[in-house]
Amino acid sequence: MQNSIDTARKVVAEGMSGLLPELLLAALVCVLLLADLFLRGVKPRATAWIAVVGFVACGAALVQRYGAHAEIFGWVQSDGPRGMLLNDHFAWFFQMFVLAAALVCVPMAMDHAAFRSRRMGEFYALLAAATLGMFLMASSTNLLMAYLGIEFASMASYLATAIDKRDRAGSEGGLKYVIYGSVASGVMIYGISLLYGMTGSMHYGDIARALQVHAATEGQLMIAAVLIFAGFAYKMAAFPMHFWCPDVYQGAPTPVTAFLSVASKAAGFAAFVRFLAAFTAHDGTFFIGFGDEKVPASFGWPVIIGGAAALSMTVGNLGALWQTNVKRLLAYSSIAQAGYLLMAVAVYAAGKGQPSGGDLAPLIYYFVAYFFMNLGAFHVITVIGSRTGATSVADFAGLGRRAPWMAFGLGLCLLSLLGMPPTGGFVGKLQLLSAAVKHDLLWLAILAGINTAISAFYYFKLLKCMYLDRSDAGVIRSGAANMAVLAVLVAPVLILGLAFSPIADLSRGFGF
Amino acid sequence: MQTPDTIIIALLIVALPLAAWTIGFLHAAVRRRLPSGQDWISTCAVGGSLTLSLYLLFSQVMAGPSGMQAVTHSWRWFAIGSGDHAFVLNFDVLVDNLTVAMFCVVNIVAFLVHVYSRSYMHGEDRYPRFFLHLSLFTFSMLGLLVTSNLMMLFIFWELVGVCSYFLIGFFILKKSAGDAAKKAFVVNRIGDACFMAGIFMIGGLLAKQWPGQDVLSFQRIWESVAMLGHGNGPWVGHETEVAVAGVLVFMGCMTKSAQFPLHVWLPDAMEGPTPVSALIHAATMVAAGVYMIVRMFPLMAGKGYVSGDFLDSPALWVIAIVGGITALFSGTIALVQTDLKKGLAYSTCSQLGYMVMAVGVGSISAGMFHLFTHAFFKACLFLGSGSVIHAVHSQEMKDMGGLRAKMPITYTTFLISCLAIAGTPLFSGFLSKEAVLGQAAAFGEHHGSLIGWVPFALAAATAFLTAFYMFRLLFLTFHGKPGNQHKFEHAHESPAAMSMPLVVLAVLAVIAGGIALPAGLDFGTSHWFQDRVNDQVLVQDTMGATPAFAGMQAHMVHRAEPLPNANEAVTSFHHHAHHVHMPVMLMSLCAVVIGIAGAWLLFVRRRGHDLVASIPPLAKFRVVLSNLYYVDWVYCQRLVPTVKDIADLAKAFDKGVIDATVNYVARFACDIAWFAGRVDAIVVDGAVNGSGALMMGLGQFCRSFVNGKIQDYVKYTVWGLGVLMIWAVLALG
Repeated sequence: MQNSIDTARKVVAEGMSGLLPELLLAALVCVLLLADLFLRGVKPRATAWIAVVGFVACGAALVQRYGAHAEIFGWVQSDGPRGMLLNDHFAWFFQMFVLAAALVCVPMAMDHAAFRSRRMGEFYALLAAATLGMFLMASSTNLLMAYLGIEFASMASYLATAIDKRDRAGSEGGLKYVIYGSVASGVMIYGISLLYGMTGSMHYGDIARALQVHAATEGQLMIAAVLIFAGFAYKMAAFPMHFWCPDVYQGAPTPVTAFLSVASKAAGFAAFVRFLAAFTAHDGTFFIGFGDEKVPASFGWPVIIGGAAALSMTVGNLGALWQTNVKRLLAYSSIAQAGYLLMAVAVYAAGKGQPSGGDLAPLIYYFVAYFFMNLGAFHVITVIGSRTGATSVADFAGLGRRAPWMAFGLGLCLLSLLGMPPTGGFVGKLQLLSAAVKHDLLWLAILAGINTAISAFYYFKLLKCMYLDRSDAGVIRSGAANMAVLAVLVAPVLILGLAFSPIADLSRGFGF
Repeated sequence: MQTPDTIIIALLIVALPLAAWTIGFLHAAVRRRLPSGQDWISTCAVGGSLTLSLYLLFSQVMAGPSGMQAVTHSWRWFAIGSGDHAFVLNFDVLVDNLTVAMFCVVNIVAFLVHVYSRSYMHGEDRYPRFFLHLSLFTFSMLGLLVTSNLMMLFIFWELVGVCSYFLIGFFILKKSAGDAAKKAFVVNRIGDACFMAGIFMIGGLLAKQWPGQDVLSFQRIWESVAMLGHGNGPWVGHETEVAVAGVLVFMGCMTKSAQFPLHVWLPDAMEGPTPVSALIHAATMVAAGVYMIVRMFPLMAGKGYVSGDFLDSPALWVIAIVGGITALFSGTIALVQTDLKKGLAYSTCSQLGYMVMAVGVGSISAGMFHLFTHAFFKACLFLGSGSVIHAVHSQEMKDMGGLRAKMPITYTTFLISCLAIAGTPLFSGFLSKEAVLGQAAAFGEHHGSLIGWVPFALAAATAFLTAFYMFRLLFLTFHGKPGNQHKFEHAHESPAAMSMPLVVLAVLAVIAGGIALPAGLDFGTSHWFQDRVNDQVLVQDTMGATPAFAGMQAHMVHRAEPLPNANEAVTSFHHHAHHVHMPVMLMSLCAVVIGIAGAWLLFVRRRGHDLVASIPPLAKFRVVLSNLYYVDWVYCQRLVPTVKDIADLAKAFDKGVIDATVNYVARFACDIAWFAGRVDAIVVDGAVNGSGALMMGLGQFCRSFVNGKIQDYVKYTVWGLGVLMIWAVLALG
């Protein structure tokens, strides 16, 4: 008894020491909530500075952790550790990604009407909480932990979406988000229970080992796999769990939308890729059948993910064609982008077990580009929206004259989302497509090409509106701080499109 | 000095005026007006070029018994096509004695004209633009001298032509100035077309020998002719073409250097400002034609070039006769001119005829020597006439007379230049004219036939005329009683900025002959200039070790002793040259004395008595001369209408036959296009629009699921999961 308590204490102590960034985030949530009580209505903007300091401190701690490879909150057994979290390069990249997105959202929120008076401190606390949830998702190495991370992040996201109670669209979006989220959780839990029944564990390593020793039928596995995938797809906003996306993105305050579209999606992908990697551990082979009929088989992940990818991009792009609300349009765009990103995951799954090996570099590179182009687009929409109340595409008429730099930034981000050279989106998409062709997913690559052509319609619709349509409205003053943020977000879009090889080299270092 | 340094200095000399032009041009492009200090910029630029030219002259050409070693360099400009079919154009640069000497002449005159113009053009409209044009002209002229590629030479040739056009028509409000500019440009087109044809002919033939190489460089052309002398190379079997190409190239010279019958533009060009007449239409641009045939001398000499026996070359014959006719023809017209500048213009034609003839009778040395001395005294005469015109505000000599006392500096310099051009001993013109006449006489003696003496006869007659008409101009302008009392009273000496260039040029008109003072006491011996500018030094030394030049003979230059290895033709020519020398010199002296005395008699002693009118044949001839031998009349009344008739005929053919065919074909094409358009509109556009509509329809379908009802979302999600599972089952089989 004493022995096991000692062991538990030792585990917790060791785990805590490796969890400084997460602990800092947790502390930040508390500090922000308390500070909000004191500063609300007096100096709400001070909370922004606290948030910035907190995020920067967390980032410093995260930088400190770079290069670590430790499984924590676990018991070491003879055939390997059994932990809850695994801090490695892959987790580090996505944690840094989420943290950076949160940091960008701080100035965006300062500028947004929904937070101007009362809700600012509260929002930052929710932002920090969601970030913490996503940290856990990115490093989860246990289905239970992944599920908890998703729930944690989701709870904070629900609240953030409906943060302005007076705003009907926000409240409606928040409610739909909650209901849809619970359905997604239910589906995922059901899948997890099926898999637990088949393998007797929720730890990825154990699942992999079990699948190699005890066989399962393909049908059983497939049902479990699709259901678990659905839980992750909900966070990615990918087919078939994308229905919440347009309503929530449109209803939520724009900084929240920006954070969800970038950080939440990335965390979903990170958690899923982790699960996938465990599922196809070692050389990707495991056994199907019972008793003597056991045969090695490669499970059909590329097919499932490829199908979801194809449907995501198609549904997203086709749905976007009719949209007139800019945020709703970008919501559909982000569903389509999830499709492209899923294609990278399908390529990774297809590459597993092949001599060339699975490569996550295209996914990482596309995410880096996506970070800048999507946040850049949302930044411009926030700035313009908070100054003119613009929500529909038509409201952006004449922006090229009214706010030339903002229009240029948005235009560049849209071209990048479309995948036009010389932007980061082009290089990212090029890597995705060439990897897909290399790993025998030609049909998917062709479909992605067709989808790109379709998407040109609505991206160019916005571009045309900005530069060709006339408007008598006056010049918009954006402010120096917003210009600086714009420069920070848009310059890398170009850099990634022009000088891409250093980043492409770096992106190879963030696999497993 | 290192070779590259010489090249760099030479290019700098060319580039400085270009820089002055560029500064003005950019300033005008940005600020919409020229810099007010354009006169200073241009003058300083040409001053810099002059300094560098004189440096090259003293450090390179003065040193050594035969001047500097020629240096060459070549930059690839472009190549059209590749391999053996490529047309290659290089910017070849050649700097030798002749280039440097010409640099000095051009820059001295250009610099003095710049200085002169600052005073002469002061207060004129568009004063800065005048200097902009002068800079562009100076650059083009220097570029023409520095390049050793016939095509590049042609490009600069056209550039000086267009500058001449700008400057003749500088007084744009004067209709006569515009007409004269147009005339100069159009007449020059005739020669340029022939010149270009000659270039193409040469390039086409040489490209067979050296495919894919830069065949239009001087060196290649010289080498090809030298090879012909040895019986090989591209010209073998094309001996006629050598002559034709030579004559075609010479046609370019005929217009640029105003040779009969294409001289008609030069007298009219006197509509331009007088400094321009001095620079472009007396000293430099019109001499470019002579310079060009000097550089192309081996081509003109043809097959006999290497052996030294080339005096029967058909191209040289054409050149000699055309030059001789021009000299006499223009000299006679100059006798009756009443306009001071036009008188000088015909004199220029006549002297250019001398230079051309000197090349034709086989001595580039004599031709270039006369070019140099002429540049100084003729520039001085023109600037002097400008000074007079400035004083009396008229170009007509009837408004002048008696100006000697009013304008002592102008008079003195004008007198010195007249003495020089007449060929008075101790002045530069004496030596250069004597060199030309001596060569022509040797040419006659060498041929021994009557026709061989034709060039000399023409030149000798001209020598009498020159002294006469030049002193006629002098006496009518400066001596006797004032023609217009009112203008006379207001006349005054020009300011120093104008008179100083006159003095400098007058000094040069005297001492420039010094470069040809004989090395020994005997006039027949070689001299400083001849040692440096003769075809042996210019061509053979440049070609260096080229095998085709291995056995080249010392040429029929005006030397006392032929080289020991000379063949019979050369030796005999030298013998003749020696023989005729003294008689020619005496004749030349007689010409000066008789010409000046005649002019004095008619225009000082018996002024006011019209002697000519009392002798009917002479009076009739004077009418012919006053009408310029009816050459302009023939052009305007006969030639131009004929050309216009032909043009009308061609136009009718074009309209009736060619256009009709084209229209028919176009109509047919239109019908096909209409059909293709229908196919496009119905089939292709239909498919495109259809796919667009399909996408929008699908979009409507996809969108319809997201209808705002959360219960439907969940329902569709379950459907979606079902779709995904069915897909997985189907795909995994």
